[in-house]
Amino acid sequence: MTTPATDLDELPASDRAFAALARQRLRATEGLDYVEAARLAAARRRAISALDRPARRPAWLLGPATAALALALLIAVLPSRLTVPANPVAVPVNQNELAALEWAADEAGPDFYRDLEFYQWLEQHRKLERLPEPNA
Amino acid sequence: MADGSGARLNSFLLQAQARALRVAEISTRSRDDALDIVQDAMLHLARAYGDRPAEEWPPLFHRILENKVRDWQRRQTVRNRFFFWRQERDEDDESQAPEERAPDLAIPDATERLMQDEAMLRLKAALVELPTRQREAFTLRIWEGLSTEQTATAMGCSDGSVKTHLARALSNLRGKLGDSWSL
Repeated sequence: MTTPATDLDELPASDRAFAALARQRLRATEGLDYVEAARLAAARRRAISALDRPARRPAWLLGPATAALALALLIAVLPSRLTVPANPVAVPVNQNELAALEWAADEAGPDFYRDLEFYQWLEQHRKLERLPEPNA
Repeated sequence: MADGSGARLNSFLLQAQARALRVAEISTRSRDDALDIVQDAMLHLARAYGDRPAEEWPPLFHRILENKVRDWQRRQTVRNRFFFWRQERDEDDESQAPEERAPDLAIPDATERLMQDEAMLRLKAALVELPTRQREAFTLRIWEGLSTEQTATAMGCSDGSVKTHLARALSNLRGKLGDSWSL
């Protein structure tokens, strides 16, 4: 970035000479020693490599965001779980599906079981909704 | 896009790094802390504003730098409050014996060099004593050479405020340093 020669012209005359001298003296101290140059070169390389990576969300934001999502799911799930159906129906287990699930569950992690529980509940809830009301 | 902007960013940082380091050093009085601050500022600029036009980088970089200096100062304030019994770190280079630090007056221009160094020390000491906004205005406008508009962007204020802060800074500095400094 080049500094225009007249950028100090807008200063009052009394300040112009002082400002020019201060600038000259300050800029004369800008030489870097080997350590400084090496560290700044490494910093420049890190900055340039960061151009290709999107800005990361701060880690502290993940916790509240995850907690908020879990709370929303809980609110969606909990009222249905608290109501006891008049005629609770045992959901028959499809043995073929169970076998497929057991095969998939061999190497599944905790998320698999969490999702499995949710989808089992969803299936049960849908079947309950399709049943006629007891006193219809 | 990555290659072009990478080269432009490298060019800008190469041009700005030395001055940014000296500016941070004035506020922190520690070369290592100043290096850390400049490194963080470079990374922050790349991550947050790497996709902006290159002409926007100078005021943005200096704004980031000033914010990082302020963060450092706040941490130091908290640290000093809790660990007040620790001795203040001596910022002078004590690895050298005093006689090694003294200039060799037998070398031509050594006296001139000594006077220049002393003038610089006095200027830097006076800059440290300036109110923050005055120091920012002086550093950006005079030392860095940003325009009034760019300085206003970096400081987050109006052009008029920049001129006011700068005028006060120059008046304060001239008062502290005296006429002999300019000789």
